[in-house]
Amino acid sequence: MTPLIPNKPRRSSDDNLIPLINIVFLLLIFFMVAGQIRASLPALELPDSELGKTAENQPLRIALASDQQLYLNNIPITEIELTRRIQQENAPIQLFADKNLQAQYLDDTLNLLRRAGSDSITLISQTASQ
Amino acid sequence: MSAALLPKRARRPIGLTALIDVVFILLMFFMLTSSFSQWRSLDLQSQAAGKQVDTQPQLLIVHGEDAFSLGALTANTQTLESLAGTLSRSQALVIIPRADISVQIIVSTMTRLKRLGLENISLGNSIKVDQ
Repeated sequence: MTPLIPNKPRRSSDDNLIPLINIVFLLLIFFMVAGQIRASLPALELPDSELGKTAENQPLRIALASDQQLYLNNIPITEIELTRRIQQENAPIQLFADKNLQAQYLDDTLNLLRRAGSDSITLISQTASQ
Repeated sequence: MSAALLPKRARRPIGLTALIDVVFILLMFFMLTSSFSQWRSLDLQSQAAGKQVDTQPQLLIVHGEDAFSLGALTANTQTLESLAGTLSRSQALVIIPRADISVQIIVSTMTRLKRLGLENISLGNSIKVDQ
């Protein structure tokens, strides 16, 4: 007579890892889908705003820290060198200014960028996504 | 090469432990590199590329977080809501911040003006005020 209940497969020690791996896979998929990877910035706080177009990475990212240090694509740079690079590349500029920076110092940088001949400057702010 | 030269290996399935090691490393990578805040871009219209305009732009002077004056540098400032009626939507508007205004206030001013329906906004040079 054959048994009604089939023989259970041999249990292996890995079986109790399966719930764990399920959870870890779910977390992995959540972070892969919800988060976005992008270029890092020098230490500065971006101003907050809710309006404006969503910004993508551009080739020319100029950062202005609260101590007025200029960065081009995350590397500290002098004003003369920056002017030269902008005249070479002639691309749209994204300006990341620290939210506590005073307007007079922002002026200096904007005037520098305009003198260097760039005609598309956007100021980047951030919004916490819901 | 004949199969006999190869050592006979027991067929073992790959353990789950190795899999979970890799998945943990991927999880750590995505947790540390992903960010959830979004970048927003505000156009600063360049003065160098200024188009010919028929009308004089309106000058909005920013004195503080909610202290503005239109056209002249006066001591009595107004809130943006009380100025909203006098701002014309067809005319260009130039924001003139005082020299000690922070970038955050400039950005929130531009945001509030956009919300009031003004489109043609640009940022002018700041002015120094002696006090």
